[in-house]
Order: sequence, then C-alpha cells, then structure tokens
Amino acid sequence: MNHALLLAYTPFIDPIDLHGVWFLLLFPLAVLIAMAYKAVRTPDMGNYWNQTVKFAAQIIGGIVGLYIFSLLVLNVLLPVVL
Amino acid sequence: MSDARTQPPAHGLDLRAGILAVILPGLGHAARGEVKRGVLACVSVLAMFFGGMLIGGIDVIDREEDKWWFVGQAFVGPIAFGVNWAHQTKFKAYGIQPVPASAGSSPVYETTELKLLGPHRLRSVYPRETRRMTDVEVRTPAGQLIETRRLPVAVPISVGESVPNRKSLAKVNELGTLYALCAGMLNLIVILDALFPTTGGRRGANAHAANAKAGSQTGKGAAA
Repeated sequence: MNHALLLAYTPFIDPIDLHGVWFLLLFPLAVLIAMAYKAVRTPDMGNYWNQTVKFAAQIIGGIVGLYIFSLLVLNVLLPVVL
Repeated sequence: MSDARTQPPAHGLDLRAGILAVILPGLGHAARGEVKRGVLACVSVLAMFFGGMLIGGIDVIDREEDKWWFVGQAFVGPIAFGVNWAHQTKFKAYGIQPVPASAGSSPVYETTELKLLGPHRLRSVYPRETRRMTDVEVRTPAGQLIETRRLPVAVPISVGESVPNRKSLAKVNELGTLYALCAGMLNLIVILDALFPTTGGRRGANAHAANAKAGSQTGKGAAA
C-alpha cells in the first residue's frame, strides 16, 4: 500500500484499499443481512442466533452456488456449444 | 380501558411505531416493547450502512452522482440524508476553470447560473485537486456581472494542502454502495414490520394463541 495514501486515510471519508480481497467483504454482509432480517422475522427470539447463522450460511451457499454455476457455464458449457 | 390506550395494537396499523422506525432503525419495535428486536435491527442496519462508508468512504452515499442507489439507501432514514448533505456541502466543489487570461497570480473565476447546473456543477475533486472557497463572478450569458459569490471551487492542490476525500473505485466502491443499499432495503422491512405488526405469521400466531386461550376461558365461564 502507498504510504502517502495510508497517512492521508480518514475512516468513513476515504475508501479502504481492499481491492485484492474484495470477495471477503461478502461474508460480513451476509451475516448483517441475516441479523437484520431475522431480528424482525423470527417468531421465537430464543432461536435468533441459530436462525441467523443458518440464514447467513444459506446466503453464502447461494453466492458460492452461483459462482460454481457461472464457472461451469463459462468454462464447460459455452466452449462445447460455441 | 387504560390498557387499550397504553398497549400498542397487536395487529393492523401502528402509525406511531412506523414513524419512529423511519426516524431511527429499530426505534419502532423498541417503542412497541420489543426492545431486543429493535436493538438487533438497529445495530445490524447501522453496521451495514456505516460498514459501507468504512469500505468505500463517503463517496458511496451520493444523491447527485449515484441517484438510483441513493433511492434505496434513503430508507435508512435521516442518517442517510445527513451523510448525503455532508458529502454535497463539505466535500464537493464546483468545477469552474479560471479565466485563461487571469491564470497568473490571482485567477478570476467566472460562471453563469446555467453552467453551475451543467459543466461547472458540484463534483468530487479529482486527484491532485483540492477544494477552496473562492470568489466567483456569476454573469449573464451575455457577460454582464450579476453578483460575486463565495463558492467551493476545485483547484490544483498546493504544498501543505490536503484533499477533502478520495473517490472509491471498482469493487471497493461497488461493495460499499451495496452495503449501504442493503441497509436501506433491510430497514424498509423493519419499517413495514413496525408499521403493520401482523405482517407475516409471527404475531399472527401469537394473537391466534391468545384468542384461542381467551375463547376457551369464555367457554368455561359460560359453562359455569
């Protein structure tokens, strides 16, 4: 990372240089979405964290599934068809 | 009778909770007595919103340059509008170029009302630029001086000056914007849940159970 840019960094004002690991930011997003959704939709708050973890895992599973599907379409299916 | 006044409605429309939920995420639920739900909704929605700003900077909240993204982000409530206001008024600058003949020691800046909405409009400063309050001559299209206004103008950066903020780019900008958008969309669900308490099966099931209990008690009373 450029040291001059690091010195000038102000949290919430300047962006973080996470271009190399941007995909890791999807995990906290999935957890926060699950937390907000389950906070209002869970019937029994005793199961809140269980339901949140399950829902976050489903979101992440969906993203990974889409990634694998896209990979198969682009690398396997399309070369055969075209 | 007093219970009917103090207890929030168990179903239907709870306007008070809806308005409170718009003001601050989760406040509607807290006001209805569901403090844990309110706190969890508030923490997660605000963590998403400010997480987006932490990733992409203040650039991800921009009503002028990312209009349609802001429509979704605006559901976070007054906080989103406040951040956008700060972005527009404290970080952006007018893209007015100095009059070429005056580009020496004290450059003169000229514009028109129309250009302030077009090519000279407020924008984020570019790399190697900063934001400086400058006297700008506002003229008619024919060149007649109307007034001199003190406006923030994007000027080349000098030694010792700093940039107001840096624009985020590529995936970092996309993810920061997405975080803030998800915060707005999730808070819309929170607002609707506070406004219409029967939405979904949660409280409907509770009300059904309460009705069944009350019905059985009435039946026992009648039988007795």
